Amino acid sequence: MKLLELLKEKALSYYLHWLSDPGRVERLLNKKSYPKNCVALGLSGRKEVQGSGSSDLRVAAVQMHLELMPSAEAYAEQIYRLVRQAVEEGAQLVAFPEDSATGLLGLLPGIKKVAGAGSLEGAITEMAGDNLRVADIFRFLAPATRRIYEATFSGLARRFGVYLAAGSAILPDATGRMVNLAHFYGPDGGLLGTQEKCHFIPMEWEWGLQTGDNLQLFSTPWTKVAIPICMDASYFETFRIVSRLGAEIVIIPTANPEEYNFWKALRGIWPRVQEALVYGVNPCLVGELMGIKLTGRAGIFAPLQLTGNGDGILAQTNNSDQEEVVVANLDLGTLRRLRGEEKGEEDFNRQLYERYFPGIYDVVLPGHVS
Amino acid sequence: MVLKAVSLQLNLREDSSAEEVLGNLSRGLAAARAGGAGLALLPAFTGLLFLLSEGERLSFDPTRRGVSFGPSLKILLGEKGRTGEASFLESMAALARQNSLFLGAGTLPVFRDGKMYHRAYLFSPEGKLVGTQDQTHTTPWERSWGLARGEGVEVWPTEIGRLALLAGSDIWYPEVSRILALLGAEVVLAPVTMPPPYGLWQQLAGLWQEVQQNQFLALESGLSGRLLGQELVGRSAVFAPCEMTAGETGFLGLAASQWEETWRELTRVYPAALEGLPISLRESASGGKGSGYPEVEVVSADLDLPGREAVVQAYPLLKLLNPSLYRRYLPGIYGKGDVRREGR
Repeated sequence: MKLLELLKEKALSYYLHWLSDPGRVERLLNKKSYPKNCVALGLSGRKEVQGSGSSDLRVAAVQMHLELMPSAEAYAEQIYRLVRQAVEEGAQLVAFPEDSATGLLGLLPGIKKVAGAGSLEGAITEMAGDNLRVADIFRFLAPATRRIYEATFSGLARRFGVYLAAGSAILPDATGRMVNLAHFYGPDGGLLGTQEKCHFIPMEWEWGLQTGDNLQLFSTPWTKVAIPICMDASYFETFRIVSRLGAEIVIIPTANPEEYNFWKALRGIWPRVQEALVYGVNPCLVGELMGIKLTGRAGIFAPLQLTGNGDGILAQTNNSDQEEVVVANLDLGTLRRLRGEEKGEEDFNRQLYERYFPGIYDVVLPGHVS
Repeated sequence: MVLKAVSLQLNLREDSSAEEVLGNLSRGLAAARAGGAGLALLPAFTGLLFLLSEGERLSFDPTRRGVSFGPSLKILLGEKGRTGEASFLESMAALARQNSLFLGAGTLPVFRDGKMYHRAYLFSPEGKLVGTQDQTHTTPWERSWGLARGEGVEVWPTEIGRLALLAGSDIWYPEVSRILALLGAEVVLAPVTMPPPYGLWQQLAGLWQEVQQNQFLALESGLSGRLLGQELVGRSAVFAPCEMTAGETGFLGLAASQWEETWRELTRVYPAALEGLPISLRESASGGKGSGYPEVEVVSADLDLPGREAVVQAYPLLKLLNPSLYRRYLPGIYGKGDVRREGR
């Protein structure tokens, strides 16, 4: 019996390897058309998009619908369509949501039959018994996920000539820990770096994932960009750290598992942008899978002083459950002037911080979740 | 325990005298007490009223030259700072005692060791001073009139819960609220006023969001109007984590005084967001109350402390912090200046 299980597992691995051949993605993307004027737009760096006025950079936030993808080609098709839409709107940097690779669960044979299960855990139990955690399924699928995800976003970044914040995928890190990992690609298709999610909602701990404790900055011709993930925006510390390290654009790929409510949705990136005086880009994953309903309105946010209506919103989608792409111009020169005026060194009280930080986190929270 | 609390909104009229305003505040507190309030908060700069002489109007310009707030404040504090503070403390202690409630008495700029601090005060129902809190961060405007920064924060355990004060502009600095939350604050009292603009979005970016990321309850008490030649704006409100409020708005109460701007902004951005906002606001919005607001408005709300605890238990935001991340970066990211030399 054990031997039979091993053979089945081996056969499934070979099947997934075959399904995830990057050549499949390459062939699909090669058949697609690419607007001529968009290629190498990102490589030109400070080149302005026509009609963008004095803005330095035009960015897009993608609201992506989560669907189980039966093949690499289907996945690449969806991502291509969304990138193209953003590029046609003039975007030079396109941001995708958290868990943008989760649709690749659809590669697992039989997954669609249990997709209506009340929970991801329930679906896994139905498929594979109750000895597996959610993280184990993502681990098993990881080689295929990685191949398709990387081929798709790298290939599209290169072909469109734009920077692609590729959302995130649940993958093992170099030590085997299962992490929620954002990827950032340059216009030559090269991977500029990755960012582990640093704060989890309780469900992710239950799934068996692990948080990171590093925040990365990525250089672009315009400025430095940070890409913390979703729940990371619930805490001022994340934005304070990356903005003090030099980030002027903070992308928050999001997949929010709750019904949409204006006020609850306002608790993440929007106040963080106001505190840290940065531009914020918030792509969202929407849809429903295995009892988890994801909602959100993708948006691009700025300090109140830099928005015409004074509301901190540069662009935001009109719905919370369907695909849509929004774009906006980011005026980095004006942002720098504002930061110089509003958040000078004198604004901070280092004596106060040195008295409490970081010890207060350990003293008060000896049993914090981990 | 569910605690009835009130936050007073002060809409100054320049032709009012300090005595008239204080009389209105006193009547507002008495009405709050009659309604069962055990906790009340007065706006920032309430103490300045005690620096004005009897009969002096709020439009009083001590410089007699129409110069700005800072110089006026320095003249007043120099002439009447000590006596004004003593009178303020005595009056506030009496108001707390008479109304038998915890009283966040607003703020008063004070001179100590040659430096000016913006200080908030908390009194017990017995009229005793529970504690004071100096504002720990300063805006460029505040620095322009010479305000120095306080060095620490405190949380006071009381029979109605663990209380803390958040003075003036500290609502804009998330470090302060985080420290208070980690020190165990359950209810934060924030007397606030500032030069315009201070509308819906500024308020959401201030104390509203501090409540959301720290899961404490909070009262904000605002002063609007012209004082010592300076136009000031405030918006009194009572906040709670979204999960505890109707429509999940995060508002338990909101002064009607500026409903037009709130209604207009939410209608423009997301009309459904108006659903569940505190009833006084919605009535005002549909009723067209006009601009004739009372000089003192009482915003009341029930603070459900067990309800807050349940929200924290269900979704323990602070337990989901990542200390190893902060150890790596804090406080080094704030700069390498010589903090000892900057010390006071």
